[in-house]
Amino acid sequence: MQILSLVRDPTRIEEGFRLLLQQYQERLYWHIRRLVIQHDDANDVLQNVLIKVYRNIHNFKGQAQLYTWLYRIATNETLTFLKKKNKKSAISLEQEIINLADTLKADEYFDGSEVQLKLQQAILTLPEKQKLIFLMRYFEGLPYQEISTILDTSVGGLKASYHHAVKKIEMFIKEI
Amino acid sequence: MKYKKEIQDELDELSPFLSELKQKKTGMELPEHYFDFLTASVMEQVVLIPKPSSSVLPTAKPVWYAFLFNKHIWSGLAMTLLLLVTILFFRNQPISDEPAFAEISSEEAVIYIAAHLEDFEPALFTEGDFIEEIEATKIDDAEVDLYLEEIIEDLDIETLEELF
Repeated sequence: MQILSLVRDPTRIEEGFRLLLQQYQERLYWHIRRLVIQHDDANDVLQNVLIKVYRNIHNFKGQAQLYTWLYRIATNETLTFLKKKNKKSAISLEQEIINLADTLKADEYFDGSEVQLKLQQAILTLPEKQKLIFLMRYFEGLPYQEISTILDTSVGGLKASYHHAVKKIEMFIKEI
Repeated sequence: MKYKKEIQDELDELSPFLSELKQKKTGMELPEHYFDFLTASVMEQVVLIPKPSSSVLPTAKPVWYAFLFNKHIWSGLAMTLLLLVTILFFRNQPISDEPAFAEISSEEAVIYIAAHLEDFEPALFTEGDFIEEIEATKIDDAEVDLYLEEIIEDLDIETLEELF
């Protein structure tokens, strides 16, 4: 793989890293954005992720696919960010759902319909792991095997979680 | 791709409502040229990070370098040198403070023995080396006869009877 051979060469690491950005930054951005919702938060988290990737790219052994390794770092960094944010606000889920609606309506980088807003609120009600599985499968179109590697969960468990998530979201949107 | 179709079929079966919603815009947007800005911003930051090359990727060193900076090799050499100096020093030292017998002449030996006759065991004079020493002096037979006659004259009759 060209990116890996370049980033392992100290004289060409920046060239290799630029290629890595071109190839993966957009996918990583959307993965993070769907979890944190707001663009500014996604931008902050993504920059931290990419700096972390640059610092540790020489430790990547190449046993997994590069983007699986990148997704893992992005997921961990995003969950840490969300935990810190939730700890600061310390509000109930119901209040969080209301706040999200207000935030999205005010966000200059959100231009969704009412049903899209409800979809985001429904996703917010899911437990953490179900949320990750739903986003990776529904929006990013990842096969179960890859989600299993990223989240370190069995394929059987993933299927059950995804099916539950889909049903819950449908119910949430239709009920409101 | 095959798995994309599988994902779509699965969603169609689970929730036709969500399947239809997926085809519509999500409403999430981005600032214009965001990814160009992101690349530039990240590259600006990474050039300031020290490259992992020096600490992570060791460079190959020549054999002499390893020899020059190997403390085990140097301590081994020092021990060997110390041992050699010790051996050479003791090899040049005399084993004893006594004078070497080879340097003493036969005449000196005879004079010394005559002067210290009482210090020697009589048995010593019957041992091979001493007899050979006497033989080596080549004393004339006539002198021996004369010496014996003088001794006999000095002896009294009782002593002569005991001898014969």
